[in-house]
Amino acid sequence: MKILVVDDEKDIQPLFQQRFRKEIKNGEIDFVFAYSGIEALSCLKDCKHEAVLILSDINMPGMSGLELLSEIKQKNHVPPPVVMMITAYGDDENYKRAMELGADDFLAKPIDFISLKDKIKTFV
Amino acid sequence: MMRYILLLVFIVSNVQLMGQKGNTNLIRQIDSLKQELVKPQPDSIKAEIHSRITINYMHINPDSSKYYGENAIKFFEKTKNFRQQVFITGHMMETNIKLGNLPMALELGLSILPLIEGRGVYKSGVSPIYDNLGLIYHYLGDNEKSIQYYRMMLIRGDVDIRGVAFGYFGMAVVYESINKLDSALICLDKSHDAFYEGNHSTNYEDINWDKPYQYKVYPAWYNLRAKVYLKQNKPELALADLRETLNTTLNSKEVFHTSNTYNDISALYKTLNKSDSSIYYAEKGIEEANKISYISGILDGSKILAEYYESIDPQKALKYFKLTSETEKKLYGAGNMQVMKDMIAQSDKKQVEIEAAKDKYQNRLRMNAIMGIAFTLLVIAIFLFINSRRKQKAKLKIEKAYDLLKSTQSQLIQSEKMASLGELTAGIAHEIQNPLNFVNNFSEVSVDLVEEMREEMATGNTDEVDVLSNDLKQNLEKISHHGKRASSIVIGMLEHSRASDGKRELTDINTLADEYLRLAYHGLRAKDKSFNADFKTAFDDELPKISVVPQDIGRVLLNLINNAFYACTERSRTSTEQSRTSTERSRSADENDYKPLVSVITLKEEDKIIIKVRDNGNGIPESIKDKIFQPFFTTKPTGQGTGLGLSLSYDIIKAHGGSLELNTEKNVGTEFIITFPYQEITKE
Repeated sequence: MKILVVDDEKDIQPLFQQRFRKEIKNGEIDFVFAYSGIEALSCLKDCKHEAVLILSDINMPGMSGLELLSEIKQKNHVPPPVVMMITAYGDDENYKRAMELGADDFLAKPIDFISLKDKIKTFV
Repeated sequence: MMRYILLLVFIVSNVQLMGQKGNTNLIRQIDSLKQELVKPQPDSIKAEIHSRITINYMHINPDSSKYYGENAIKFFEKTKNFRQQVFITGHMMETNIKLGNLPMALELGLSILPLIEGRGVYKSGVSPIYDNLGLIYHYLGDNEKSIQYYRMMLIRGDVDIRGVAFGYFGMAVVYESINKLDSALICLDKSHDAFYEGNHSTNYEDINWDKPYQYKVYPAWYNLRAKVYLKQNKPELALADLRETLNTTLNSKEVFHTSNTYNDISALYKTLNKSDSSIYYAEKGIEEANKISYISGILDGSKILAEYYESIDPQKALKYFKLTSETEKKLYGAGNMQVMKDMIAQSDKKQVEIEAAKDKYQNRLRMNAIMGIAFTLLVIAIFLFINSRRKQKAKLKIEKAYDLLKSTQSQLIQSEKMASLGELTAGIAHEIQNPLNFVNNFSEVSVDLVEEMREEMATGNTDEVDVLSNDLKQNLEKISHHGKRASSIVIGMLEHSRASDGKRELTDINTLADEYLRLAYHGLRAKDKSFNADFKTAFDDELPKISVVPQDIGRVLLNLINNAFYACTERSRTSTEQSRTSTERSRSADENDYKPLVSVITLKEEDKIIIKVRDNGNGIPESIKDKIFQPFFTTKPTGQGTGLGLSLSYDIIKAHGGSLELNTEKNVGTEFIITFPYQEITKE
């Protein structure tokens, strides 16, 4: 299973790699990292249908996570991948907006990896 | 002696007819004038009529003349015809003198004198008054005062040449009487010259003197010179002069001259011991004088005759003694003398009083002037005092207002600070949550790694232990890094809200700018969900640390960056609105592709440190470009901006010795440029 992680915080990569150490080692999950919305879109273009799950931050300079979400959900991807939004602002408005745009789930920072792992299991 | 005639023909023609016939004629004229008075007449005409009646009555009824004269004076006074008032007074004086009524003449003179002197500038026309007064005092034997009055005529003579002539003549009379013959002759010469000049003066307009004289010089002038010659023992010259007078006056209308001359000739013959001639001329003198009741003429003649007849004809002598004493009594009667002395004493007293009053008046004037000045000074002083009080009050008011303004300003600055802090809080939350995410997760995952490492150590898999320990080390570094990041944000927040202590510190502008750029971005994101913009930094890595007050400069950067983001969102908002309302479906490519971007650039030029904050918004319109640094100027909707941001920023940069400028272009964007002089800003 391929998971695309989008965040402008570069340290998100070592964090995910360590958190999913066992899964990566076992070849269960393959992580791809993008540091902006634009990068994420080009990444999706390159590896069509491969990414099953997209984890995206909402607050990013340039294209925000919500814009990315609407791009992914309203455009070309068939079948559309599962998109989970992650944000430091766990407020209702962000949640509502994300759900309206077709987000599959919503997580608040700091990320609770145990529950994230559970959610990944249910989605896949 | 002298004549002052206005109605020359009218009067003089009647003087000659002083008999019964003359009187009836005069009375007829007076009656017709009285008829005129019965009719309603204006005061000026009434004055004129009274004046004429006065003159007509002069010789036939002195009391009536006095009555009408007084009325004439009143009317002239009423109509403010001072010239005529003086004229009729002079006339009445002379009449009274000739009639022997010296007290009345003196009274008239003394009554008009203060009026004349009160006028001060009144010059012409008053000479006859002085002339008559001089004569009266001469009769009274006060020659000093007499000369004084005659001199007055000389002073006023600049406009009254005949007055000068009579003035000198009067003085000559006095000098002759006290045997100052040389002085008398000098005065006579001057008098002669003045008469001559007066006769040839073409613009001679004085109504108060008889004009034109039918003789070159006043006839009595020769009589007087004859007297002097006689005293100088020159009887031939004296006689020649007297004959000259007689020739000019014998058939003239002025009878008294003739009378005088006869008497003078009589006196001359007396000194020459020619009794018959003397008696003859004395009798002729009295005869002429009688025609006009000329007292002086009668007196002079009767004196001579009384003396002559004393030894020859006692009866005649007695007659003339009686005549002499009667006329003398008329002139110098004991009663008269007493009256006049009283009058003069009173006048002198009055004069003294007038002088005293004048002094008093002067003093009062001086006093008033002093009081006036004092009052003015007082007013000025009060004015100045009030003014200074008002100023003082105004100053206090201004100071109060200034203090209020100051405190309001500091409150505003504080509220501006808190407002920007409020904008920051959301950003701060995000900026803290993110590092906390790493701190929490890296530490949690590290616990797992340690657990794993133990397992590997137990199995003796040293390679795996090595990898794990490296990861652990890396994680701990990450934890430390993100912990510091969070703490610096908290410190920055505290610093921002804290009142600036104004202490300069060597500050890394790149770090500061980056920090505030992120804070601003996330703050705006937190506030406005639809907001998004890209930001970019172009930092000069070689940029030296500069000595600034970090909180202050941070505030400036935050403000400029916030404004930049605001400008971008404004443009993107307006452009999407435009495209939505556009009837054409085809969106303008330019607007569709609009990507909001804020850049912060630092660079070092030769002697400058430059910080630029750039946006690609709509640009600032030329019309408000000059205003944006003014306090309270804002383009934001009410309640959204304090209008102090740029104004405070400007002041802060100025206080650091730098400058804050801007470049702006419509639909391209705006660039704020902070420039610090390198030398100053790098000093510690």
